[in-house]
Amino acid sequence: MDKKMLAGVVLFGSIWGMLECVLGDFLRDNNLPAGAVMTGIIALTIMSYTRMVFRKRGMQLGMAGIASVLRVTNPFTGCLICSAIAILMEGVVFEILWYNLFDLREMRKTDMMSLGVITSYTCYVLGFMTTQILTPLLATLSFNINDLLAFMPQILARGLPAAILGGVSLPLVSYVKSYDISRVKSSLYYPATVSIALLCWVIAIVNGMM
Amino acid sequence: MKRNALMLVASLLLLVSIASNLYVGGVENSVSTGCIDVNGVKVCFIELYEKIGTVTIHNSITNESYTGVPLYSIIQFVGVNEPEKHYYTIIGADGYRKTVSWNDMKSGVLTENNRVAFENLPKAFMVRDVVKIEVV
Repeated sequence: MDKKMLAGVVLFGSIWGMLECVLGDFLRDNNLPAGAVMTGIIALTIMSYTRMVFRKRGMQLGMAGIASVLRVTNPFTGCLICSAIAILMEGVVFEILWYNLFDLREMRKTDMMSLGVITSYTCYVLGFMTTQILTPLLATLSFNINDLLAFMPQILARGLPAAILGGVSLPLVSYVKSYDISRVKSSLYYPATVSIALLCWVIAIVNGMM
Repeated sequence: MKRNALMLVASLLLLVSIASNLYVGGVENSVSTGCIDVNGVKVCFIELYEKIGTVTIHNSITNESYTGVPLYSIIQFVGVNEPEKHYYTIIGADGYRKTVSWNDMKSGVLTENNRVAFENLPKAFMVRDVVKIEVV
């Protein structure tokens, strides 16, 4: 793993985590579809952009790890454990679905839309299911599968907005492929990365205290 | 082939999601009416507040306090035998449900806005718009 990619993991993971804390909480507080927006737009955009630019497997999982840790620093709103688990699961699902994908340039727009739908919906549903399994296990060391099965129709239904947003977002991400952040000079790249990442952490922590 | 597969899978997932939405919308969701079904017995909040009263608990995970009728008192109120030998499934109006132990019930409350809260469980267990408590 080269240094620029590592710095990219920290940078984009921090941006993702900060947005989960600030934007996610704002959407929830105003009864807007936070899960759909965070998965279908934010997570998918950040992960697909970095995959195209850095072209490395594992990077998105690292970013999800950073984002989930940052989410945990904001304990005063929402289900803390659920969100962190869901974010991590999105990284895992993305790495599996995009194992052999590094570039969208050769894809038609309809294929990108399809891929966006598939990635967003799968991330959302599997993330939701994983939180419903792991949260009780972590909290009470027990899990009742009937609780999950009874709620499955709701989970599958709630994934629709995320799927639609993903289908719209991914083709738009392909338009920014020319903005290759990895080609920025090292003298600017590393200081900017550290500064922005730190700022994200400060914003997330302050937001949690407010 | 690969392109067709992508569209096919995406269409399938969208179909599943739309079908689920139709199913969820078509199934009669329970509506919170100010009363809940506890082990087949209908009890109303006003009655619970008047006869049992409320307590305030503090959740160690969310660091928030919640005031409501103690869940163990509700179970005793409806006359469940040997409550310590059972688990309890708390069901919300949208079908969301969580199963907890008697120990958790002893440290939980049903709040005025019809949500359960516990001292030591994360927010995922705080079922909203409770309509039913099943004794398992």
